[in-house]
Amino acid sequence: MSCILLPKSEKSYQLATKYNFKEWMIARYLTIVPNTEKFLDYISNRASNQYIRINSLKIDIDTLKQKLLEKDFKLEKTVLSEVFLIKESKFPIGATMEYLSGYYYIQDLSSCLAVESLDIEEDDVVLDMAASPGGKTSFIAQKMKNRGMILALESERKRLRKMMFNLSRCGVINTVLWNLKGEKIINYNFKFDKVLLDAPCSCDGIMQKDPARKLTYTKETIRYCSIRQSQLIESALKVVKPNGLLVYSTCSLAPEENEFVINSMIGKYDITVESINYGADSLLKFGDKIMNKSIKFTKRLYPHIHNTAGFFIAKIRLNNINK
Amino acid sequence: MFRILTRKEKTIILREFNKWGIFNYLQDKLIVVKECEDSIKYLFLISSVLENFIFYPCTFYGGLPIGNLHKKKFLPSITFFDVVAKYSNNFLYVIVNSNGEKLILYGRDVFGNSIEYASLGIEENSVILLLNKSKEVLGVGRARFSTTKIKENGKVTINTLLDLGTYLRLENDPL
Repeated sequence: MSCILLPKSEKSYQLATKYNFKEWMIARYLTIVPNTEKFLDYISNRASNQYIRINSLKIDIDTLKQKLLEKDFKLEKTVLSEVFLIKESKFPIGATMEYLSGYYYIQDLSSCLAVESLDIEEDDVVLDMAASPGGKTSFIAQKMKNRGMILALESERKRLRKMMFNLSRCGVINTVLWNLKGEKIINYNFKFDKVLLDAPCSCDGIMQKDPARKLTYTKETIRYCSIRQSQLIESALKVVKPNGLLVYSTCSLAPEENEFVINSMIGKYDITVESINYGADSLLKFGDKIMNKSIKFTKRLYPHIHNTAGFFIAKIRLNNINK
Repeated sequence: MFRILTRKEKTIILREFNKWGIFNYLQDKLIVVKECEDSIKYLFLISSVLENFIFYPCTFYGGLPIGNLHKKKFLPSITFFDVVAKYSNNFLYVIVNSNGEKLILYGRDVFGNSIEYASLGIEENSVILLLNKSKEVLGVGRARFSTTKIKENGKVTINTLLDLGTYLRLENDPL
């Protein structure tokens, strides 16, 4: 799917100049992102929020909270009981004994919400299709209380060791990590109760954390990612058990990588898009493209509204056998 | 490629589990080996559910990395000692103060004045667990002195062999 370009305007020119963005990006954001100027101001002038997820495989929530309070951490509750916003800390949060012991994992709330949407049960057999660095995998293991089984896939060899250490540190023992491209899972005869596809994407949702992405973000990236994402989601749908769940997520705001991908699967597969409790409604129209009505059940998260990375989550149930 | 243990390998490893008082932890679990080009055999402890997924050429790791075998010697990992601290009541240890805790996490040796408590029975060259005041594992060390002398002021009395910071320091190494 090619990147859709929208007409530029005086507003898009002004905002692009003010916030140092490419104008075609701003022209799109004016349609995609509610209250665009606030969004641009927020991601350009504020440090991104830091969240931690308390790892109940290693410690209970109250005990760790107490330990962190003793170290002068100030924590704020979020919509998820395990996840806290760091309001203040005297130490770098990635260098404490508690971090090294795997008592918590530094992870954006948006990523945790994707896992939350999987409705994990303890004895599930779960596939995590693009798993590195292992944050979502370890949260899945946490929800399974280390029971059941997770197959995690990562295609880049250099990221595997880091993932192994992350999972070991967090006390995860129910996971097997394969060095395999997600698309290739269909060559193995496995079916899964739940599949998480946190798809490789253009990552404009994390520009607040990594402003260099403003420069590397191109129309070609969007096109390339959307093709790859369509291939991945097709593979995912082929390995979900009937009545099983697939959660698709990206940290991209581009509709071509989000709503369009899900929309193209409706009709091709016997699936139901299920509602998610948190986030803003997704786009039912972008450019000339009109989406299926059930796309409204997918959700978008915006930095200036939800205090998270820019994120997209879709929860898809496979109804029956593939057409 | 992963494989199951040979009888000889199994004997070496089970002896170690027994020595550290965690033999029962092996119940319902299987130890598998990954042989790498560096001739080190990496060992993983897996539950029976994982067996269906482990013996593939694309498997990088699975379950709990418990250490490696090198020239018939078992070299346990920090995760192995995590299991020891959790499930065994048969191990030697010291409890260090917060200053000692910081030094251990940077891979530094332990000074006698950082030690608040030392269990009885530590001898020179004993391998001992290094715990903080909450009895959480910080690392593993080799004692230079026995229990009676291990708290001696101003001297390194334990050499740190493994510590939690190992996770960060080794994560980019090839396996």
